[in-house]
Amino acid sequence: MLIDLIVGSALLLFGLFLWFWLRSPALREHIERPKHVFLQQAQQQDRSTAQQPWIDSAPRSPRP
Amino acid sequence: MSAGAFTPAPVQGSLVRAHSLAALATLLVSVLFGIVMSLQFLWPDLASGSLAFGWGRLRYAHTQGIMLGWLGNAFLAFLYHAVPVLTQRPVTNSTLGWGLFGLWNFAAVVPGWILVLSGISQPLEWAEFPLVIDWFVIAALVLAAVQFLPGFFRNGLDSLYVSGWYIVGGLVFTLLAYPMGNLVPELVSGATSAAFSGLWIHDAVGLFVTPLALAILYYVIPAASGRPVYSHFLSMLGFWGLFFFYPLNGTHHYVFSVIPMAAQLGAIAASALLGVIVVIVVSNLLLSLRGSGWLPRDPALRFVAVAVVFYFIVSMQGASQAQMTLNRFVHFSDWVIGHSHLAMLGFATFAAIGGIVHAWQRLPAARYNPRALGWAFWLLTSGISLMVIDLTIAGLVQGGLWQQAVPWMESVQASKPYWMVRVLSAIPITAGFVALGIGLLTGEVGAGVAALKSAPTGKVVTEPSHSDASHAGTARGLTTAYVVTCVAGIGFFGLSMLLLGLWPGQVIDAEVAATSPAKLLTLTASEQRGRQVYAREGCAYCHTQQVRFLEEDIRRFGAPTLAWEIQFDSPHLWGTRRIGPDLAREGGVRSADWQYAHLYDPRALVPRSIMPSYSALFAGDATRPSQAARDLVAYLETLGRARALAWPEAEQKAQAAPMDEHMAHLAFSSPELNAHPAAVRRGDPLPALAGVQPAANARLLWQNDCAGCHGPQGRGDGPAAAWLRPLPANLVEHRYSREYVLTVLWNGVAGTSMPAWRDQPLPNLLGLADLVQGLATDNNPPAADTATLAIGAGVYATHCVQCHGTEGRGDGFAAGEFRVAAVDFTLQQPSLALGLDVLRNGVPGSPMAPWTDRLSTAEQEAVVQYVRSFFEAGNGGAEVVNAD
Repeated sequence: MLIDLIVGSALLLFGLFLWFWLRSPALREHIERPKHVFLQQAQQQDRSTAQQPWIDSAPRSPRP
Repeated sequence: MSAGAFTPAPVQGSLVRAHSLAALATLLVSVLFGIVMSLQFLWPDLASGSLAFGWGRLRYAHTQGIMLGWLGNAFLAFLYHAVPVLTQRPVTNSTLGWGLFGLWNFAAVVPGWILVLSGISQPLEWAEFPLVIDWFVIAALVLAAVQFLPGFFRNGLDSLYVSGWYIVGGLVFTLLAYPMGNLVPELVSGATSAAFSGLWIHDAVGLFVTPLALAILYYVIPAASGRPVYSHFLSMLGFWGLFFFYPLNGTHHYVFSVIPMAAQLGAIAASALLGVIVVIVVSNLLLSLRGSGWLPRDPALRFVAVAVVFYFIVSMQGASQAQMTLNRFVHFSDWVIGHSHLAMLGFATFAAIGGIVHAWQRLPAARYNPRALGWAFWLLTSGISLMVIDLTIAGLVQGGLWQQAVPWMESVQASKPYWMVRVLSAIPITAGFVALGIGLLTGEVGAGVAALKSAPTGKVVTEPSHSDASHAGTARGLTTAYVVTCVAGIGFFGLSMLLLGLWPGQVIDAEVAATSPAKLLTLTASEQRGRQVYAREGCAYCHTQQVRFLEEDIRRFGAPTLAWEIQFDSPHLWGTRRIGPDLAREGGVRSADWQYAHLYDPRALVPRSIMPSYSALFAGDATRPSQAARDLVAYLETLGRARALAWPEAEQKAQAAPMDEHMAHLAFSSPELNAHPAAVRRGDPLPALAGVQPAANARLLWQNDCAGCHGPQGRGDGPAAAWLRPLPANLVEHRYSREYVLTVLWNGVAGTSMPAWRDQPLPNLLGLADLVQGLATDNNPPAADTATLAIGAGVYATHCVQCHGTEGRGDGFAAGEFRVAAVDFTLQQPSLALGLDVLRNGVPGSPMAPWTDRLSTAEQEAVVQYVRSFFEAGNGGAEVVNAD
């Protein structure tokens, strides 16, 4: 009974998720959207960090 | 939300730096603890005399240091970098951040170490810091939730990136699981305590370490490679799959135990399903790494790429070793230690390093040395791979030997080469961590940020075009789905507590009520204190107290552990590793003197033993135990006592109680196994020996198992002899019948320190019996004259017959009262010199007193000659093998 419950719940959730995903291109696009947004954010963060003026103007410490 | 409108939020660089440095410091200390422990496998006296640095306490400090000190700080360092990027908002408050830093390190990790090394601890796997520390950890987790989570809920769930989901899930579920795993096992007892503890063992890895490590992987891979993850859908599928199934795995740590089989099977099924989910997660991550090459140039990306591989291996290992077929073979062995190191030192540590390096590289004022980081990568990859492969093979060797009827010590002996390799693997691992520190603390200031300018940025990513209006409905639907799934996720955690904790507890309570004897012995104050000593010194981490429902366990350790036997154990001490033998039925197996001597100097008794010495519990000698040592030995004597004394009432009740048929068969088909098979017994018949040939290596067996007490030549003067009462027999000064020697080897000698040697194969016992008979130097003594024998008979009838019986068989009317049985002279013959010595000095530790005040010298000699005559009369001498 316990195994049935676990397996059944898992299959149900998986099935629902998959069904909705396949059914709607708009949903697929929406679900995938955060990965593009995140990448933009991460790259912009890196660019912002790299563009800080002191990096080029600040004296470099000697190599240890 | 539009990426074009994105304004980078400030990162709390000082907190990234502080947690990274704390992570490195606690990592090195924790690894040092681990190295000292691994050395003690080969040189067990390394920390002799120090309880604080004894193996057990170091084990507590090692695992908690890795989880809370190293990984906890590393994750927090990463969160201070990642959360502002993911949420586009700064974390809640920098002052709060320093409070969290102080709380985590100076109220939890450092005091936790000090307390466990001082002997204040909680004997629960992955929950070893004492309760007082648990409250600080919970408070810190609450602060972490306040610090990091608010920003995630401001942008809407539908736009939350998978790393954000893992961060939210990790913090929320850890807040739920940590109290469950650390507090609840203290509130319940016995098998129910083990059930909850098992949940936490898995939740600590599955709900704290794994989510935050996966958050790093999903963050660093796209951020460092410049390409988005392959599929956000698959990543979300994996996220929910993990959070649904991880909590349901816990009971797989106690397969074949008394925890209801339905709960065990449920956990096993969930483990298999979790393996399927991991395949989805890993496939997505590997596809996300496409284009980065086999060996990415970016140091952080290189670490996380290997973390993905480690994650796949460790997860497949976990899913398969939970299955009964493999579990019965490898559980309790070094296979599991290899598995846990691959999880925590392989997957999680590589992910954590990836997270730290990625964040550190982006600190403008930080030094950065990619060359040293490259060294760290190769050293750690090779070292951890070597350790895990080595321990996995060691586990297979140990499991194979445990299946066979070979003495326990053979598995220890066979493991030593593997333990040596593990020690050697510490060299590249430690060097790798040092190189990591060098990579972060040397190099040019700002070199990491400068590298960003020259690094390839990957293709420019454009967000898919869409109409906000057309997506509004989709967003609402998706948000609703996520909310429902969130509720379901919390529900699954509750379900795990219900199905694998509370429900088994109910079943166990019912089973205890149905099977427990009416009046169960409980522990005395001394025994209870001894239990605390056992717990604080980490004895349960080498010695399980759990005989599983398996033939190989029952054959070696006695009947399987039933719930009623341990109903008052709070918390439980089942253990998850057998470096030494199981102690669930240790009571009656060894004498108190033996236990004291073994605790004081294990190798004096068992030369090949790797048990640490606990000489610190003694005042300079094994015969001068402290109260703690007395309490500990008193506790050891209770192990299995309730079951041994419960016959037949409890067994009859148990057989009438409903129980799984297979379990019932194993539990009750051998009622004599209520005690340990090697418990000292009086008069158990010998097994059939016809056709058994004596082992040829008896001399080696003697050196390994007998010389510690009886001495190298059998004179009863071994290194442990002086600590034992009665003294070990001087075998040179005795002649024995072969049957008697075999009976002693098979049953032990009650009231003495001579244990039963039933774990030895019969050929070994025969070989030893022959060897013992050959030790006698008095094989052809001159016969006594008739007059002397007549005087001796008179003395014997007056003074000796009450104990030794009329025919010298040790069956006098008073003999039954003695803890140490009266000598049966028909089976053993002391030399004349030894007999006189016994009469003059008695036998300390036995009822035999000195007789010099009552017998003249002539009477003493006469009675010794007389008792010696029983041996020939009883035909014992007919079997004597000539010493030549």
